Amino acid sequence: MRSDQAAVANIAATTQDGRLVYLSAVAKPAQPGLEGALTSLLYRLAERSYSELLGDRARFDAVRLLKEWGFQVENLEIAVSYRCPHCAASIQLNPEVVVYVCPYCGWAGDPFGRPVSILAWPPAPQSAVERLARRLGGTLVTAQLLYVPLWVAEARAEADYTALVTYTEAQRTPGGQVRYVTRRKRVSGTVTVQSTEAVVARLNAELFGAGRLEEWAARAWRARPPRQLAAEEAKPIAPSILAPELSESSAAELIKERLETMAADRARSDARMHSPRGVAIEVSLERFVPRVEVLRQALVFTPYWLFTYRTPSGLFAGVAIGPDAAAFQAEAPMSNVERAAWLAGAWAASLTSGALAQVLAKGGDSPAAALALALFGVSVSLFLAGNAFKPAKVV
Amino acid sequence: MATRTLPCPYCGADVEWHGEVVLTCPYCGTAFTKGGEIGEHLMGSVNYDPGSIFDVFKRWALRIPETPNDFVEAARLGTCRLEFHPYWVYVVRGAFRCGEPYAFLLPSMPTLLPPGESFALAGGLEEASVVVTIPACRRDREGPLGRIKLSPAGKVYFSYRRVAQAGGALINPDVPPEEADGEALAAAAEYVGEVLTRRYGRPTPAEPAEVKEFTRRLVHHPVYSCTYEYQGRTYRFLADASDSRILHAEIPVEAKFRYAASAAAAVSFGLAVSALLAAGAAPVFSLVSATGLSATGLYCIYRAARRTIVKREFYAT
Repeated sequence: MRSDQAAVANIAATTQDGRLVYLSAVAKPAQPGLEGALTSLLYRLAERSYSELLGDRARFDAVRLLKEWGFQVENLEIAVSYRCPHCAASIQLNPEVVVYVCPYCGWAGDPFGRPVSILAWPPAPQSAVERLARRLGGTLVTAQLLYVPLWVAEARAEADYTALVTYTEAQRTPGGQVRYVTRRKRVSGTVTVQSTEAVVARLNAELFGAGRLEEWAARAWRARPPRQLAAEEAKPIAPSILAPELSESSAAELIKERLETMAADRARSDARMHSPRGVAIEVSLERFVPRVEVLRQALVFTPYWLFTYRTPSGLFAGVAIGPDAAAFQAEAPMSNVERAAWLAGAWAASLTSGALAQVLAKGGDSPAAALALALFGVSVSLFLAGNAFKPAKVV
Repeated sequence: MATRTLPCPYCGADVEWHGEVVLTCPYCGTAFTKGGEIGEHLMGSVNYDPGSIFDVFKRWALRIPETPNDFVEAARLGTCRLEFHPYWVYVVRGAFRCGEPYAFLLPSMPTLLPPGESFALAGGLEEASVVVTIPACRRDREGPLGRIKLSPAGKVYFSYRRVAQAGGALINPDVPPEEADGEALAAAAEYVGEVLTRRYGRPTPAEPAEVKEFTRRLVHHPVYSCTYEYQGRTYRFLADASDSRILHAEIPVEAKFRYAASAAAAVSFGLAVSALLAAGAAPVFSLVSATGLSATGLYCIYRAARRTIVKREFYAT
């Protein structure tokens, strides 16, 4: 056995935290019995979590163990990849991924081997994006179709509250005059909110038009429910699918927080309506006990065209969402006329403030008022001039 | 400071110590201080190479309308340095006391209640679980790296070998864990206070009452610090090597934007001079108008002179 030869071992295993993986080890120099030892070693390593396996500690312990078993290795490499439970393919994924679609067989599930239903809306054809670019006054340059994962949930919140309502009330004095007095009153009640909410299932990356995407998905969830994709339908779109990174439970927490905020808003408006008489001027909650329940939650992949289009003013970006690209968010050029109008507004503001200051000064009124007017004029002028140089508007 | 060695609490190796606040064992990746281990040491994975991060950056830059249209073809990547920046990442779970201080006095002093009104708790205990990120390197705090928010999700055990294989530089923390602990608790309370302020519709500060979980992790997060050249000038950008977010970027401004601004400045100053010519008949009008018009002109000159714009976040999100 030559000293530059390596001993190799591979195993299919389940890590301590339940992930289906392939583990492989390559050690140099090869020695009699080393391959068997490496196989035993990999089974020992599989008793650790996936995260630990990727760190230096696992490798350090492996080398130490081999030494204890009588092997002197100069080089040891340990590799970990995910294992598709359906076709047994080896798959490299980012550690953040919580659900994936196997690019070889279309199986969809989590790294623990649990299948997940893939719900998706059909994509709009590229011609719809071309039409949209024309509508925005340009021609399409690039278009990339992605499937963005969103957690959509129907949730319900019920909250008991006590609010302090400050209100004004009209009172007639003995002399027949009306005067307004400010009063405070505590109001208690229970409010209920039910809503469908969507959360983009990505951890940190910003997504152009994410807010509009979430709004669209929450609306479409009821109006035109997405269809469940079979494995053979999911396989061809697997390369366009952005892998979900936000877990179901984290998404549920975010959605619960939104529902709590909505319930608090509802409680305030409820308290405002129950203000005894007069006009409520301030409502603050003193006690608020929400109970939020997620009734149904699903992972949905939303077709999302990310495109750029060219106009005489330059290149601009946009996104088109859904099966007919009806929902979109795009940057649109500001015309030269719009920019000139903002600038003309700035000049007009300066001249008008000057004219008004002159009138005030002539009338012998306070010079302080003229100075304040001058400062106001400068501020307005700068604000308007700033708008003239805005790079683009968002439509 | 003279070099000493400290034993790694995990593998026992002697690690050189030059006075660093936190040391990382080059053999097993354990992070520790003079006092011992400081919690899990994790890292973000490097999911993009310099070439692909530059492609992402160019596509991102094109979305900014001032960017020249030949940017994709003409911009050339200069240097690209991969740095692993340290962050203390905490999970803080517990009960937070919130509400107006008087609320806590009320139960023992019912006579203070206004007549005819029942007792209502203007505060209480709020259960919350918060993930807090504290930059572990002081010089990162003020810049774009200070705004990074991390989660323990998707992070893996630290590997010096993978840092070396990626050609990365490891930045050592200089914020001690004890100092970060205090900041994390305060940041968690502040976050809970913000949530409650939104909920109650009035300022509702919160403070920790009972901490049920306080898990500290040191996370080294990969960031590309790159330069690129466009038309002979060098610009800089920072990008997250895990998820390709552009954290900070200098972008050249297309010439036509600057010419338009110059023309606007000339018109503004022309109008200012015209206003001054009327000084004899209407001195106040002349002075005030000329001031406003000159301010507009100066602003236009500022826009015309600006060859670079600095972006710290996605445009139009």
